[in-house]
Amino acid sequence: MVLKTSLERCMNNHKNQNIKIFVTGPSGAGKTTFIRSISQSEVLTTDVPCTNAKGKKETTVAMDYGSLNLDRYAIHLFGSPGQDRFDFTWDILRQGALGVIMLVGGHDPEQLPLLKKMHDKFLTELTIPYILGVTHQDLAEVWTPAEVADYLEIDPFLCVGINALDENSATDVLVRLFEIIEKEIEG
Amino acid sequence: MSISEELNIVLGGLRSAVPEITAALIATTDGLPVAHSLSSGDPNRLSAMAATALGLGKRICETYGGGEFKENTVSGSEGQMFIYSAGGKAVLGVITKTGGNVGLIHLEARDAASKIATILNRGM
Amino acid sequence: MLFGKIKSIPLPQIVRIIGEKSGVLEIKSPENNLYSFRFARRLFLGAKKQDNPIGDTFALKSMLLELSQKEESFFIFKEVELQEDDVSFSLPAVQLIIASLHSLRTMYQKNLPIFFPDPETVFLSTGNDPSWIGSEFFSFWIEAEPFFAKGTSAKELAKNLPIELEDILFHIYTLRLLNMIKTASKKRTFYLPISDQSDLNSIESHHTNIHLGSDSAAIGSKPPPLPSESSTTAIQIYQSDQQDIKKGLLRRLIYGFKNFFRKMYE
Ligand SMILES: Nc1nc2c(ncn2[C@@H]2O[C@H](COP(=O)(O)OP(=O)(O)O)[C@@H](O)[C@H]2O)c(=O)[nH]1
Ligand SMILES: [Mg+2]
Repeated sequence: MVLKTSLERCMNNHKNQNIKIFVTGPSGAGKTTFIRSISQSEVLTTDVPCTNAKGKKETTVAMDYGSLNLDRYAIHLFGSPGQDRFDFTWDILRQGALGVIMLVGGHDPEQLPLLKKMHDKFLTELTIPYILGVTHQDLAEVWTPAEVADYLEIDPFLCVGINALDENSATDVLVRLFEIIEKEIEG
Repeated sequence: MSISEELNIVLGGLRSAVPEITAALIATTDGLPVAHSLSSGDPNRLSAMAATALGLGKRICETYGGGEFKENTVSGSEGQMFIYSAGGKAVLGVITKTGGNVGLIHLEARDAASKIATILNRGM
Repeated sequence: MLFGKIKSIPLPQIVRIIGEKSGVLEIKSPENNLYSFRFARRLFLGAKKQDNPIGDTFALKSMLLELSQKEESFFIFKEVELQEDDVSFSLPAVQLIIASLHSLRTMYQKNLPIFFPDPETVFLSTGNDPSWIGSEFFSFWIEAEPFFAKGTSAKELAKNLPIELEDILFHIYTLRLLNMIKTASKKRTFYLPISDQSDLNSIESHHTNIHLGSDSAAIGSKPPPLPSESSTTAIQIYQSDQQDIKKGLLRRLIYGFKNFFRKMYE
């Protein structure tokens, strides 16, 4: 309900009805989980065997796609793999997106340096509005969204704490993203 | 005797040798206060600034080909501050009233600076 | 809760995040030595190694050096109001940041630390007063300031200054923690969503081709196959008609989508 209202206000009765949102973040942040939690459509996740620099097959790279419908709007969520060398994927996915959701696992501060690099890069290269979701807030030992905002030196309004396993909680990130867009549009 | 005590003795000796010296401070080159006898002004801030001024002085010296850096002088209408390098790790700042015997101040302060350098090299 | 390994979040950065909070920062080394630092409202009040209080600047500096070499140490910050009668230092926390940054230099002898910025990220000068950053950082600042004034990256600085890239990255990390520079963020603008379902389909199939289909994409070292010019231009950007748009709505329309693809595959 809140999501619908914030989306309506963000779109301001715009006749465009397809909304593309890009989800990124370090590996283990909760991207796949997040997209699964809020999608109504079946989530398309593809694990691709991946070869590392030494020619060993080990990691897998996942690409996620999910969508949800809200009245006349269709929200399409595209997840990116977190690996550095997939910068290229980034470049394509983020084109044409209404907004970007960056996720990080609050339980695992070792994700933070990569998050910061991604965030810096994003901030200096792109002009799409973004929101930062700090996952794993259901656990006892986590960085709070305010702490992650301090770490990134950004406005705490851009940071939301969620439990990506929970649909309602995950939705908070979208709501905030739409609020941010609405705010920025109104200037 | 601790390093701090030894350094305080050097500062005390400097002040008694040159009564025109109203205050002195020792800071690390990264700007942490080590010892001081300031009665006014923020010793933390002044230590940090003395360390920065040392860096600036060294750069200016290098840039105009002035050889090894000796000291910076910051003169105001009421007072002067001289900033000396004390080995690679520390800086000595000396504050006097305007119009003091600069020759004597330099002589004593440079001597103190080399004592400070010796103490620190031994202690760290 | 602020916690982690100092390998990914080094001491100076922790102190910066602590900011105005009051409390005790505890760091446990792999051999189970406990180091602690007390803070109250941007002041550093004192430190201990095990139960021994750190008495002076030199003891503090050697403790910082020791800690910077124990990368696997684990930290946790416990927020509490501190009684200020237990004070052996009363230093602005930023001076502890500077001192611990100096100690940190010993840490990047082999690999570039993960917490260094990306060499291509652009930083801009904040215009803050540099008079307290200390001798060495100031020396770098003097050289680099003209570049930061217009915005520069580590990569660009390495081309223009007689300084190694890793030193430049260290200094950028430093100057950023000291609030002398910040990322040069662009003003946020808005891509309008895709105008109709057919366009969306073209984008989806586009992705499918590139990332899910062929083996070359999976390997990751080879670039994905290039999309044809026609698939590029099939993606429409909604061209807004100013009159249609309500006051202030989507006033900064981006239409760089086509240009972007064109540039990328030229
Ligand atoms: N408790 C908890 N677990 C989560 C949360 N988000 C993700 N996870 C778990 O963290 C692991 C990694 O999540 P995943 O979505 O695969 O991360 P990705 O690499 O970003 O796609 C999975 O086991 C998830 O179940 C969360 O908010 N809370
Ligand atoms: Mg995943």
